Amino acid sequence: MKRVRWSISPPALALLALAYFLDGSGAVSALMPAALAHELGHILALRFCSRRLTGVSLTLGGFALDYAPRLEGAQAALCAFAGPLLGAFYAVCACSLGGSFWRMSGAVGFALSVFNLLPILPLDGGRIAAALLPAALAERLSLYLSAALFLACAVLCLRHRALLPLPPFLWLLTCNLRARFTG
Amino acid sequence: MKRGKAIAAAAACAALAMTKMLLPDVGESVRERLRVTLARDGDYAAVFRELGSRLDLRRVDRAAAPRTTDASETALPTPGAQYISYLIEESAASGETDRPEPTALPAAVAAFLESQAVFSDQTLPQNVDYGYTDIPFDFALPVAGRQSSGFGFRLHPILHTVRFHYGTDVAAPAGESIAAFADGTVILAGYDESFGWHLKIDHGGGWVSHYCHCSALLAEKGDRVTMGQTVAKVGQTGLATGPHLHFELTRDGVYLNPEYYLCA
Repeated sequence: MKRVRWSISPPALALLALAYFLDGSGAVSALMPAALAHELGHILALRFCSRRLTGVSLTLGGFALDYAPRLEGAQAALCAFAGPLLGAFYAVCACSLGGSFWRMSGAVGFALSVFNLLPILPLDGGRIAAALLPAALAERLSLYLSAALFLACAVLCLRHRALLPLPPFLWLLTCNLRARFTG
Repeated sequence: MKRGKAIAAAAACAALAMTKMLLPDVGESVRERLRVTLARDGDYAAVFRELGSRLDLRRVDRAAAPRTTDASETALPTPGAQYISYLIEESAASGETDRPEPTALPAAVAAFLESQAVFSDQTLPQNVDYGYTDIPFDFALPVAGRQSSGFGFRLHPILHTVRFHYGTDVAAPAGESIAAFADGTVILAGYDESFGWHLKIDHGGGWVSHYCHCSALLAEKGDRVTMGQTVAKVGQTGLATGPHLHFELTRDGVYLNPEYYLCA
């Protein structure tokens, strides 16, 4: 049995360190168990679908799982949905545990699950859409929705002069534009 | 090339982690500047704490459960939504005429208790009262500014643990005048490692106000001061991450929430 290859990209490591340095509320530390619960959902679903996990990597866009053989259709949608599902379950359990750290972790995990269910690639919601809809339609939906959300968020952020929520939406739009124009 | 990037990232990671652990003031100062630039007055951590509180299934159970007269609960109530009803019942049972009617508890009290509900697992210190008590004399705002940290449980900005905050922090420029909360006598004027330059004024009737982290004290122990008189200057002496006034209010040694009165 081959071992699972774990890796972290240098920019992700630097970003994580910067986020930890700047975080005064403990949200970054609280995010770690929430993100692990989310990924555990994907891993369990992959095992359920008899797929072999070959690698786990942390990139600027979050965790990425490598597995074989390739998933398609309903199984791909199930595996994509399992992450936010277990993430939401973790959120409720963590918040009910009590303690400010676990409440923060649960809340961050819940927000992560909801954000991941947006039907935008490469989020889990986008993967579900790509698995259940025709590829061209899913890609178009992903591009238009990412552009609309980015614009809405940009207007709100500029209006309130609070730029912090903007980077995730900018990243999503960049991913979709790159996919659109570079194929 | 790839190895170089990895080494650079690891070095940056180690440098940032060491700076945060060994020089917490530097991190706090950079964070505050970035917070102002990126988030303005948006308190995202508070949003997550509120969300966490709403996702707590036990909180829903507690709210649905009938109230008991458990002795430990009445002896030492914990902060949270339940405490609102505790206050209402206590107020009704006491029959005091000078206290607000149970149904007319100031909105500030309810809002404050709601904000503290997330810390319901913490034990409230014995010398703290979350209730609202009328002040029997005229009083004035010590300094105008943004409230940078409130009364009650909070994640300590330097120690990164949940601690009880016995006062209210009002961010103001260094050197800004601090006015006496009310007429009284200065009973303490000195330096403390945590409070920096600080000053206490006895207003009579057991009421004492406390002004901390000052850059200068303009009154001495034993001085009679009047409401609004400048008694100190805003600073960041002692355990402080920026210029602000840490203001405490006590009655018979019991800490009260100054925000109830400062926002009035």
